[in-house]
Amino acid sequence: MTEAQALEIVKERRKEIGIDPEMRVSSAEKAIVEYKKDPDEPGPAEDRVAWIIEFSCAWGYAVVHVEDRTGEILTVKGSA
Amino acid sequence: MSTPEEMKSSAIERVTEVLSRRLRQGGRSTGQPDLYFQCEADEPQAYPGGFQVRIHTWRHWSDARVAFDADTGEVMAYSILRYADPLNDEEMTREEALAAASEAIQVPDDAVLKTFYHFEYGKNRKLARLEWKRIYQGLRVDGDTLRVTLHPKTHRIVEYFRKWRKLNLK
Repeated sequence: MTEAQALEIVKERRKEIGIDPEMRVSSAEKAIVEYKKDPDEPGPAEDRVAWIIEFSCAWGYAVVHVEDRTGEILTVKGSA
Repeated sequence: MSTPEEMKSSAIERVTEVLSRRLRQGGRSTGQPDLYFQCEADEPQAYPGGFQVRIHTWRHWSDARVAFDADTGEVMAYSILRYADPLNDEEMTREEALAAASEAIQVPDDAVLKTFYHFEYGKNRKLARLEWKRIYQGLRVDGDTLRVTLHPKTHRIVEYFRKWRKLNLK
């Protein structure tokens, strides 16, 4: 998957995953990320190759992990 | 009248009580208060009302934290923090910092130096810091980091943090 494809996936689901309209993409990087289907449940974590896409604006940020192989959105974290 | 040794012991006991109470007020409970502070008594000195004993105390000065995998017991991350004396406003070169760090610790093969900088955590308390990121098969491993803080004058490591997980790539 290219960076542009990863950005397109996030753009399409932006509203659904709660990225505020004010936020803009500040960086995108392909990396190895830690992943757990349910982070609150105990058990081993997995590692996945994913695009880390960061959004930011004056009052906050959001980080989205998009799995490189499948395009699945693995994680959405943010300050707001 | 108490003997000098009894006076010293009694003074240490009182100071320990006071400091333990402060620990509890700060939300820390421990059966080993000497992990947080140590006391040492001078010889009793006479004054018009009796005797006085001066107590020297050393406060808690370092934090060591280790994170274990609760299932396997594997060490996942650990850190040792110890902002040390002496006062300093000198700087060291990156090469000096790398040499001092590599004498004291094992830098993993897949570590890539990310940054080197100085910072002051207090007036005239300047330290140097090296940070490495982890690159595996050409990709950065998000969250894994090695951070070493050094005293530019003594070249001692005063802070160490490492998270270098065992990868489970799917």
